[in-house]
Amino acid sequence: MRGRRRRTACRPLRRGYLLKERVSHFYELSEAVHPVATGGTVLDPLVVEALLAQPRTAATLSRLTPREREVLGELATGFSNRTVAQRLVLSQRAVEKHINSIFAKLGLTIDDSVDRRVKAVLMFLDDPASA
Amino acid sequence: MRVWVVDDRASFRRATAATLAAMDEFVMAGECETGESAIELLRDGDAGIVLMDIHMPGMGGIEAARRIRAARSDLIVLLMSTYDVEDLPAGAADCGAAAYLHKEHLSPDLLTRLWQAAD
Repeated sequence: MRGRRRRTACRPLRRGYLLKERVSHFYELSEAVHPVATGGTVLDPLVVEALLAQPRTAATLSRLTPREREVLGELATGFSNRTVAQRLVLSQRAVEKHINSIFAKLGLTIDDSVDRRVKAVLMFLDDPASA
Repeated sequence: MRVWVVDDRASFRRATAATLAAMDEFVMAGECETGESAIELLRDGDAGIVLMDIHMPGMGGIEAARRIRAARSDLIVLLMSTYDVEDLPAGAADCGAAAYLHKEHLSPDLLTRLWQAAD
């Protein structure tokens, strides 16, 4: 985040994020155009709301135990449960138990439309302390 | 509290470092992969807690804990492994370690509670 801010300070990023629905409202668009043209950034209030509502990756990963992080690191390398079990000298059942615990701690429910294993790995790789 | 991790598995050391990085009370002070290097490196360090794996090549964690505690009685050494308590190797109880933690149960919450108990 700091790096991003530094870059912005040196060379303004002329980016605006407005939902398409908002573009039809001419008044809001005209308000947005000015700050973007002058190097500012405009975020649609709905986008901001969605960003704030997203679970913080660091906060959820912080609940993982060292062993769970170790298992997740192995999954991030692409190993199957059986290989993870062999590499960590655990039973396959123990690995499955750890993976389910990881899913629970990261808030990844079985109803999610995403693959929980992939999502967990992406969260892991997004964590500066783990990756 | 500054924590030193002694474990021959690099992945476990990395995972423990990441766990500690996410906690307010602890800082990873350093790491090494053998008991011999731990004795050398912890002689003058400013670590407060040592997480020591029992099963490592060379002298192993129990003997390393005994020698570290002989030189630095102020250090809190916590033994770690995957043994059930009743299967712990001889010497674990009287090597000067403050406690034994099963690796499967080592968690941010357990570390916090241990630290609060020791404080």
